[in-house]
Amino acid sequence: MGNEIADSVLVEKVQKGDKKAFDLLVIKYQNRVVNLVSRYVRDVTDAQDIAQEAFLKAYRALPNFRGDSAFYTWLYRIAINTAKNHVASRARRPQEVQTIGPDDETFDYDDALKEVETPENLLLTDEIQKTILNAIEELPDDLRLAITLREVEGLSYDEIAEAMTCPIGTVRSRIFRAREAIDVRLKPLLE
Amino acid sequence: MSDNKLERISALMDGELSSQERELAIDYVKDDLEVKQNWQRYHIIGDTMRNTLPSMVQPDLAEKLNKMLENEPAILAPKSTVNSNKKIASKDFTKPFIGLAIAASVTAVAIFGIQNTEQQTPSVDGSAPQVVSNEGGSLSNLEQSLATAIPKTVRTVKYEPVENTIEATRLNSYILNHNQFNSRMGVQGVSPNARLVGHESQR
Repeated sequence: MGNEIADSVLVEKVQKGDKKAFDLLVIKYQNRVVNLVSRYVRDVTDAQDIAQEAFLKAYRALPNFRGDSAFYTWLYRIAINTAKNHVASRARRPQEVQTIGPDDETFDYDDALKEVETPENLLLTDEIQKTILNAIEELPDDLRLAITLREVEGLSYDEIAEAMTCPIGTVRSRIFRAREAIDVRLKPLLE
Repeated sequence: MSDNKLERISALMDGELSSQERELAIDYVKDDLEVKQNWQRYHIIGDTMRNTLPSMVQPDLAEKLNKMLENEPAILAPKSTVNSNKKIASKDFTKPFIGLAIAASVTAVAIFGIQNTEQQTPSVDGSAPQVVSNEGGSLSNLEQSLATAIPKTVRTVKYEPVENTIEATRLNSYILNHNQFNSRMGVQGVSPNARLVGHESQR
């Protein structure tokens, strides 16, 4: 619920012309959107392109967003429609057959494919996941429980405070410390 | 960068800030690149824990999109949905009147069109029409004026005598009445003083 309020504040800012606020929404939802789109298209590069297109469409359609549904519900719908359209257009397009003749010395790969889908990038993602999961394992129990209840179970600070029998301020502090402990390990990978 | 600031960012992610704190925290993230990177990493942590991290992370997606958005016009104000509803309502209100106006136009065209056609329809009868002048003008003059005045669409019917006398009498009286009526209405090309009468074939 609190998450939705934060989203609606950001949406309102974008609707008033603040492009930077949209940036925060993109960062927040990009992984979830790419993950969602990946269910419709196999190629990771395609999924990323579709996610990018979905965000662009969302930005252009934001003036018409009235907040009847949560922002992420609306965004997910746009992403799914964009993915379905992509799949449909792919199905209509005749298969391109590329033949390599004896004189051909080069073969043109998709530029985006070269740029994104590299073994290094795949390795990086794997590394990110391992690092985060290891860092969580090494957290003190109270920090691990606090961040798990928040991120996995989706409990509010109030509910976590009740479950852990501690003040809300302590919950806020524990969750932050947990994130920081993980971030110390994660940061070098993304720099 | 103070821990206090980052703790606010962490709480902002969870939607656990008061409206005042929220505004401040949003400004921190928007304007400070380092804080924005923290915002991104915190979300990657959450996505990994929820297992919603895609098979390949693209940390620069937001940056790329940001560059693309530079060419997009900024959204200045949300479109008023109330106004659009009003437009729809006014459209709905005028719709029946537009239909009514079209129907009225079609009816008017139909009425005047039929009247005009009736006026131009020639009398198709069994007797050849003869023109009798009330003013005693010469017949040749009248014929000349008729030749120029009667429209070409008027069909001339060849005279054929009717055998049945009862039928012929009834037909002639009908023609007389009809022609009297026609002359009163002002048949095109026929002088109002002229009368069209039927010709009795046998007497």
